[in-house]
Amino acid sequence: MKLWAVILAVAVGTYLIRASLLLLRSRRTPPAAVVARAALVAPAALAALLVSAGAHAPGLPVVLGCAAGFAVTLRTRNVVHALLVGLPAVWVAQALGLG
Amino acid sequence: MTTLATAPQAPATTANVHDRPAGPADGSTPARPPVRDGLRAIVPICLGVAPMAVALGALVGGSDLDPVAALSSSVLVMAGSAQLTLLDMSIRDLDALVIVATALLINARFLAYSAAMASWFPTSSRWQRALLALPLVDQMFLVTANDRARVRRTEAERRRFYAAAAAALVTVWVVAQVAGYLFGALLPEAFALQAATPLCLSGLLAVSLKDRRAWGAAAAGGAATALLALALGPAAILLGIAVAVVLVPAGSAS
Repeated sequence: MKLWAVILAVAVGTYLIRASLLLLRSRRTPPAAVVARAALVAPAALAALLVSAGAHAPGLPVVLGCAAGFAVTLRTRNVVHALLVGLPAVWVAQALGLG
Repeated sequence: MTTLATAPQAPATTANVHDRPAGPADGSTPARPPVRDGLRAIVPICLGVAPMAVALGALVGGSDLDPVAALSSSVLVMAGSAQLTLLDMSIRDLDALVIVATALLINARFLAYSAAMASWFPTSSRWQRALLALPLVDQMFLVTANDRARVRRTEAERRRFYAAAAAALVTVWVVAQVAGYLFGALLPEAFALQAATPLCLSGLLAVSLKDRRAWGAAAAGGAATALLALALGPAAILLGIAVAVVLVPAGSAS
C-alpha cells in the first residue's frame, strides 16, 4: 500500500515536471539559474545515495566493483559499462577471497 | 503515444542524411521515414538500458516488495535513476516522504528537457504535447536532439519519430524488467546481482558528472550526507542533496 502511494506520487510528480514547460505553451525558458541548479541535483543525489548505500557494509568486493565500474563509465559515458565491468570485478574480488 | 506511432510511414529512402541538402520543412517531400528512423535511433540505446532494466527486475525479485507495484513503476515513473532510488529506499523501508522527495529531486532535470521540447514542438496541440511529455527521459531527449540536429523534418514527422522511439524504449524497458524479475532468482548467488544496485548508481553518477559543477555537487552531496547521517539517519540523503544544490555555485545553464 505504501509502495503504491510512493510510486503514484513519484509518477504524477515526474509527469508534472516533464509536462510543465511543454504545456505552458510559452517559449519562455525558466530562469537560467533554476535550470542550472536542477542539473546539479542528479549528481548530488546519486552521490548521496551511494554514500548511503555504502553505510550498509556492502563488502570490499562490491566497493572495488563500484570503483572499477565508475572509472570505466566516466570514460565511456555509458551506464551499462558500470555493470559489464563492475560485476566481473566483484566476482574476481570474491574469488580472490577479498569478501 | 502508440496511436501516434501508427501514423503512416513515409516511403523508404536510402539517402544518407549527409547527402541530402536541408530542404524546406513543408512536408511535401519527407526527408526520411520518421518511424523507421526513430526505431533505428533508439535500438542501440535499448540494448544499452536493457541490462539495467534486468538488474532492476532482479532487485524486485529478490526483495519483499509487492512485485506488481514495483514493476509498474517501470512504466509509471519511466526513469531509471528515480526508479532505482525509489525501489532501493523502499526496500530499506525509509519514510515515504523522503523517498518521494528524493526521487522527484532526481527527476528535476526533466525540467530542462521540457523547456527544450516546448521550443521543438511549437505548433503541436496541447494533447500532443501532453503525450510527448509522457516518455520524456534522458534517452528520448538525446535521440530527439540528435535527430533534430541532423535531419530536417516537419513537426508531424518529428512527432512520429519520437513516438516510434518512445514505444520501442518503453517496451524494452518493461519487458527487460519483467524478465529480470522472473529469471533473476535463477542466477547463482555467486553472480552477486545484489551488487547491481550500487554498480548502477556508480554508473549513473559517472555519467551525470558532465562538468566541474557536477563534480562539486556530487562531492558536496556525498560529504553532506555522510556527515548528516550520523545525526539524522535516512533523512540525511534529502538534506545532503539540498546542501549540495544550494552551496555549489550554479554558474550559467549549460
